[in-house]
Amino acid sequence: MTTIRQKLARGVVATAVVAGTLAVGAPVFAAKAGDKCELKQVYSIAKVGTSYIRCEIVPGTSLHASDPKKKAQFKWKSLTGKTADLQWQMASAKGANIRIDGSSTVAPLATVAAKYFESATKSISGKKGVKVAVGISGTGGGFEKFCRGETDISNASRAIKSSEAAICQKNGISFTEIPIANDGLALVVNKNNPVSCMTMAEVKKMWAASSSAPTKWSDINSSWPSTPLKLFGAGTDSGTFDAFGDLSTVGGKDKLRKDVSTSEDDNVTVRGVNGDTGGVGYFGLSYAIENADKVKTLKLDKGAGCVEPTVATVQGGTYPMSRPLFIYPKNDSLLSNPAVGAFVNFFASNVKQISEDAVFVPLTDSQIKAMSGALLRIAALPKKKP
Amino acid sequence: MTTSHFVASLADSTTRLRRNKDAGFLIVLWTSLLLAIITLATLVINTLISGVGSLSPDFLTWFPSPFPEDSGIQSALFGSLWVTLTSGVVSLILALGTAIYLEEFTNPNSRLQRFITTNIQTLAGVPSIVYGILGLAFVVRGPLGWGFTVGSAAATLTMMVLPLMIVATREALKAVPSSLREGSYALGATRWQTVYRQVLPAARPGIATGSILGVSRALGESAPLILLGALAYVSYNPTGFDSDFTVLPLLIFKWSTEVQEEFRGLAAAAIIVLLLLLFAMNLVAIIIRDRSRIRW
Repeated sequence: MTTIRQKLARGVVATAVVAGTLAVGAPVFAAKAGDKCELKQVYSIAKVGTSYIRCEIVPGTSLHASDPKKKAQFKWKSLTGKTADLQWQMASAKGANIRIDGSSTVAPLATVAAKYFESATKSISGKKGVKVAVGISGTGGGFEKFCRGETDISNASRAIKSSEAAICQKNGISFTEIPIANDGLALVVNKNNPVSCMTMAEVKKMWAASSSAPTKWSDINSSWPSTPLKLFGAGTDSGTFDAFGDLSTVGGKDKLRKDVSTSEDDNVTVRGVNGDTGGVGYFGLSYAIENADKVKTLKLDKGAGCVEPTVATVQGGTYPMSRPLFIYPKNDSLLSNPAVGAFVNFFASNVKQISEDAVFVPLTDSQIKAMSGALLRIAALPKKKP
Repeated sequence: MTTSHFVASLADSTTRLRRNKDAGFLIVLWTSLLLAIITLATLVINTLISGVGSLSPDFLTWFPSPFPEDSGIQSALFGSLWVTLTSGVVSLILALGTAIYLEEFTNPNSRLQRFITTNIQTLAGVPSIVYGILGLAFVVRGPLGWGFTVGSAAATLTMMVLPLMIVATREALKAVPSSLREGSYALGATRWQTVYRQVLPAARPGIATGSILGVSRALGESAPLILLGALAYVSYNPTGFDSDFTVLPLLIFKWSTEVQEEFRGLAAAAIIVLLLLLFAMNLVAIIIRDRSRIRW
């Protein structure tokens, strides 16, 4: 995964897509007729609608999901089936601003969506394209701002808590919950650790707060080495920490043991586990995939055999530590700012491609169907009287 | 052993001891100097090695992106310039006024003067995160309610560097010999004329150095801005004091926590740009100081 990207020198991406001066990464290219696509074996000129021409992937050729050339030919679509509707929606959102904040886990996904959306509106409205800003205050910090009315959309790596929803309600902020991607929490250990699979009972024993909490690997399972246990965890403000409290079956984040090196930065966990034979940590699946050369991802067993976290097992729910990720658009923003509605529609309609490009586990088809229910609820929101 | 022998040997041994102490102290000094330089050099060289490959004109003109291949720093660079220049200009004006008033127009022994001086010196030592809390409560929300905009970030950083700049400006004014003021008064100049025509030009090098050091601190600061509710992905330049923005230190922070390894190289490249900016600012301070140095 890394090698493909590293081979691409800075600047190469710009020329890899189309001959001519087209914006890098722009999903819709306003190319002139007669432009040729470079890398002809992969791309060919295609006509989109009546006014847009761009390079598209030749059917049957395969490119890696994280290949920038594939991103560059990103083709947006509308979930409702009418591309023209979404195009009109984006055009009417000219010059608007959208402010997104919240979970740092969801931020990369929202940022990819924001970039594609910005490029799409730019290709429609020129310089008056929509501006999207994404913050990384964490799930809790994001909701704090959201319920004060300071943001349009809040990213969350867990569902909103009833205490947070109560604050929103008190401030007159109503919202719509949209599950936007799946995430697996990966449990990672040092490469030299012989352990490759853990049962959920062992996970619970390892992470639960208790006076007899294990200090060595052999305390959990006598067949494991007697290496001292060194735990690395997510920052206590993060949604990942909350989610791990539930998914590790210890019974909530308050029951997690406290003698853990915590960090908001998952790279610290990677380095910690990489440098300590007894190290163990957890984070989102995309970190585990990206750092497969540094740490070993454990298989987990909830009674039906060892399951490796993959796109399929996370989507199918057979991997024990799977969770949904959410976005929470503010209903007032959806009604008063056409850009927010257009963005949510764009994000939801293209969520598969966006998830793949951001190295997230996409929603399944049935989840997408369920999500279009949320979009219909948004469409049915009572129009505000001007 | 005779008395004279004893005295001689005593003198001998103390001399040796004193010389050894002398040499020992020098070694301690050298070691601390070396440690400081080695630490700094390691940091800089490390950053250069991992970042120089990502530096290119594209890196400066492209906007931040979720993909390392087409990420640049333009919006952060402009955001940094907007915030730093605004807070620099505002705090320079305020610091000059305060320092001139305290140094030239009040009695140094008055209670009010001592009260203000103590307060300013305390404020100069307050950690930057506290200014972030203050900014969040009073500028972003609360009475001003500006939201997280260029204006509120500049206001917060102004509050942060103001005490430092007042202290530095006062020191510069203090260093101007009183004979200069007395000469000016003797020629019939008023207090304001003396300050404006004599003291300020003479204190210019000190003021320039002090204020540029203050502005450099504002340029490199990220902690208070993160508290204010900084944005990590902004792909457009600020258009005014009420626009969204991001700054270089925030982008560096975000990139260093990013999933993809390639972002670490970009973070290093952004650090190089930040270092170059800081270096350029300090160079300006040195040039101003050298060109307007007056020897008494």
